Amino acid sequence: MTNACFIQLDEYATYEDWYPYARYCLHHHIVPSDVHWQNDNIDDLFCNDSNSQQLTIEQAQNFKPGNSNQIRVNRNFVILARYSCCFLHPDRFAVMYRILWRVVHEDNLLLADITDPDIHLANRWAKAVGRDRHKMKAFVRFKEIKFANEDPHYVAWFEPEHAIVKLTSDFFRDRFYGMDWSILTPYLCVHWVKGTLTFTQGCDKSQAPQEDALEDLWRTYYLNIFNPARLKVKAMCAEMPKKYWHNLPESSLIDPLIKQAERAKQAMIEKKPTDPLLPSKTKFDREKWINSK
Amino acid sequence: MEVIEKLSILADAAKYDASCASSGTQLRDSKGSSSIGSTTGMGICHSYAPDGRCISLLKILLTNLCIYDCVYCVNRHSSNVHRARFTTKEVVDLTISFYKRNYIEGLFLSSGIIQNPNYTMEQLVTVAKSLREDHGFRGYIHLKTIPDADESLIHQAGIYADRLSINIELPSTESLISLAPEKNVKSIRSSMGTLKSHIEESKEEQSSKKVSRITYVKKESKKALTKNAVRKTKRSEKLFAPAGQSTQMIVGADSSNDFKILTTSHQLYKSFGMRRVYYSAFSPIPDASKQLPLTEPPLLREHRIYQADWLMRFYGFQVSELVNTQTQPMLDLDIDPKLNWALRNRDIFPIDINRADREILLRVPGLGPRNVQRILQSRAFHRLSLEDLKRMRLSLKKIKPFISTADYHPASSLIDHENLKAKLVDPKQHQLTLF
Repeated sequence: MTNACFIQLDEYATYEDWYPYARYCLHHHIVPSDVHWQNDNIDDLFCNDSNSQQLTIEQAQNFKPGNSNQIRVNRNFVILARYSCCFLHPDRFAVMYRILWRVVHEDNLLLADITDPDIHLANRWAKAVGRDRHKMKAFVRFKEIKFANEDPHYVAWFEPEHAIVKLTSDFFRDRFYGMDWSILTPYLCVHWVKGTLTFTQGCDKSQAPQEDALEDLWRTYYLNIFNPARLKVKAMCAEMPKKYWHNLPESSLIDPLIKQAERAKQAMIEKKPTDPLLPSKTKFDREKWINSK
Repeated sequence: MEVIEKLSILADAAKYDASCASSGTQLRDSKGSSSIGSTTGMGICHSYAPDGRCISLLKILLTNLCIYDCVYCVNRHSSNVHRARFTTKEVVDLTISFYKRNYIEGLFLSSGIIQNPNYTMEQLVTVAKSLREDHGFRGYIHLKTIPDADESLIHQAGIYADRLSINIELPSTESLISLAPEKNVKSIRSSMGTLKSHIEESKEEQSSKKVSRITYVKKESKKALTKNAVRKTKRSEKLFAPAGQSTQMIVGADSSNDFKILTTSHQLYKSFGMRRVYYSAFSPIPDASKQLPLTEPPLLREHRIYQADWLMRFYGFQVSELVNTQTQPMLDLDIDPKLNWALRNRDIFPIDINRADREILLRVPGLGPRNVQRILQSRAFHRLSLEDLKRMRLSLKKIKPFISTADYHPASSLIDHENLKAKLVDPKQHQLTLF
C-alpha cells in the first residue's frame, strides 16, 4: 500500500498553484516517484489507477502544518521555483518537487551544485523564464485609448513564451502606477485600473487596439537614430529575435533600412564637402566668454 | 516646424553619442504616487536598430545649432545640415508620451552650444527639472554636461539627472586643439573633477544621513500622498547623479594609436571614477568636413578596444599587458586581446581548473567572470571534469588548450603548437569587417 497520488493542475499553472500541493505532499512524506503531476487535459493512466488517489485543491489548501512541524526551506529555493515553475514544460512541477524533496531530505546545499542534472535543468528553465520576462518588460507596447471625460487607458498585446504574466505584473504596476493600463496575452490578461490589479482570462489579438497616434513619432525616432554606416543585423537579431517583431510598431522599418543602408553610407562618403554658410564670426570666442564672467 | 520634423533632425544629430545605458542608478518606482517611472538595476533595451545598438533612452539634442566648430561633428558650426530646435516643453512631452507607451527607459538629452555654455546648460536643466517636478517622473535621465558651464548649473543638473557625461572626444590634447578648437582640455578635466567630487560627497552624506531631502513628488500632489508613500520617498532620497559619470572618445578621427587610447581611458577611470568610457568609431556623417576624409568606420578596431577596456575593468589586466608603445602599439585585429595575451604568455598554461585562484582563472581565454564564479562554486562539491564544463555551456574548443581538469591533462605540445593561433581563429572572421 502506498500513499501515491495524482494532482491536476492547469496548463498555465505556476508556483502559487503548485505550492499548496507540494507542501501537503512533503508533510505527508509522499516520495517524489509517488506523486503524479498532471498539467494538461490529456487523460493519462494515473487518473484511472486505483492505487492513486487524486489530491484535491481543497485537501491541499485546508492542510495547515502546526508550528512544531514547519519545514524550512532556503530562500534561494523559493526564488528558483517561482521562476522555473513558469517554464511551460509538462515536467516542471515534478522536477521542482523532486528538488524540494532532495533539499529537505538529502542535501541542504543541493542548489549550489550547478552540475547536478536536476539543478542544471531547473536553472536552465529559470534562466529562460528570466529572459522571457525581460523581453516582456522591453517589448510590451502600450496603445492609448482616449475617453472624453476620463483619463486615457493604455492597452498592450503581448505573446509571452512562458506563463510569466503574474510574475511580471508587479513590475508594470510599480512603473506605471499613475496610469490605467491592461496587458492582454493569449493565456491571461492583467489590468491596473484605479489602483487595483486584476487578472482575467486570455483573449486574442483582435481585442487590443491596432494603433496609436504616437507610433509615427516613434518610427521617426527609430529611423533617424539608426546609423547606416554601422550595419550589424546579427547583433540586432540576437537581442531582438524576429518572433517579437510582429507586435512592434517599428519593425516595418527594419527591412527597408537594411536594404538602403549601404547606399546611404556611400552617399555620405562620396558627397563633396560644402562651404560653410554661417559667418565664422558667430563662432564661440572662449576668451571673450571667460572674461565676461 | 512640426515636432515630427524636429525629431527627425535632432535624433539624427544625436546618434553619434554611443551611450544608451540606463543602468546602475538608484532603484526607485512610482508606487503610491500619481506619476510614472521606475528604474531597474540593469536597465532595459526597448528596441534595437539594425546597427545592433540598443534603444533604451530617447536620445536627442535640444538643438543642433552650435557655436563650436569641432571638425568631426555633424553639428559643427560650419556644417550645412538642416537645423532645428525643440522647446523644452516639446522634449518633456515627447519623453512622457514615449515613456507611457513603454518605448523608453527615459531621456538622454544633449545639445549644441547656443548663445553661450551657461545658457545651453540652463536649458538642459529646465527639461530635467520639469520632468521631475511638474510630472513627478521617476524614470532615467542622462544629461550631457557642458564643461564650460558654471558649477552651480552643473550642480543643479546632478540633482535631477541619474547620469552626467562630458565627452573627452579625442585621446590626446594635441588632437583636441587641432580638431575641436573651441573646446579646452583643462576645462573638460576640471569639470570631470567637479562631477567626481559632487558624486562622492553626495554618497558620503547619504551614508551619514545628512543629505537634504530631494524628492520627485509632484508639487500639487504632496498632500494626497499616503503615509506609506511618504516613507518610501524619504528612503529613496535622490543622490547627486547616482549613476555616476561617463565619457566618450572618438576612434579613428586622429592618428592616436590604441596604446594612447587605452592609457587615456585608464587614467579617466582612475582619476574621475568614470562608470564607462565609450568608444565611437569615427563614422561617415552628412556634410562632412574637408579636413577629415570619410572612410568606412573602423568597427573592428572599436570592438577590440571595448574588449581591452573590459579586460582592464573586470579581469585585472594592465594596459601594459595588452599594448605597449614599442612592440605592439595597436591591438591585433585578428584575435581578441585576451587570446593574444595568452599566446604571448604560454608558459603559465595549462591552468588547473580545480586548483587555480580566481585571478588566474580569469586569464583563461573563453572564461568570463561569471563562469569563473560558477567554477569556484561547483568545484567546492567535487573535482570538475570536461563534462562539467560542457554542462556549464563553455566552449571546450576555446578553453581546452589552456586548461587541465580531473580527467584531462593536455600534452604540453598542444600549448606550444605553432599553429595554435590559426587553430583558434575562426577562418570566416578574416572576411568579416562587421560582426
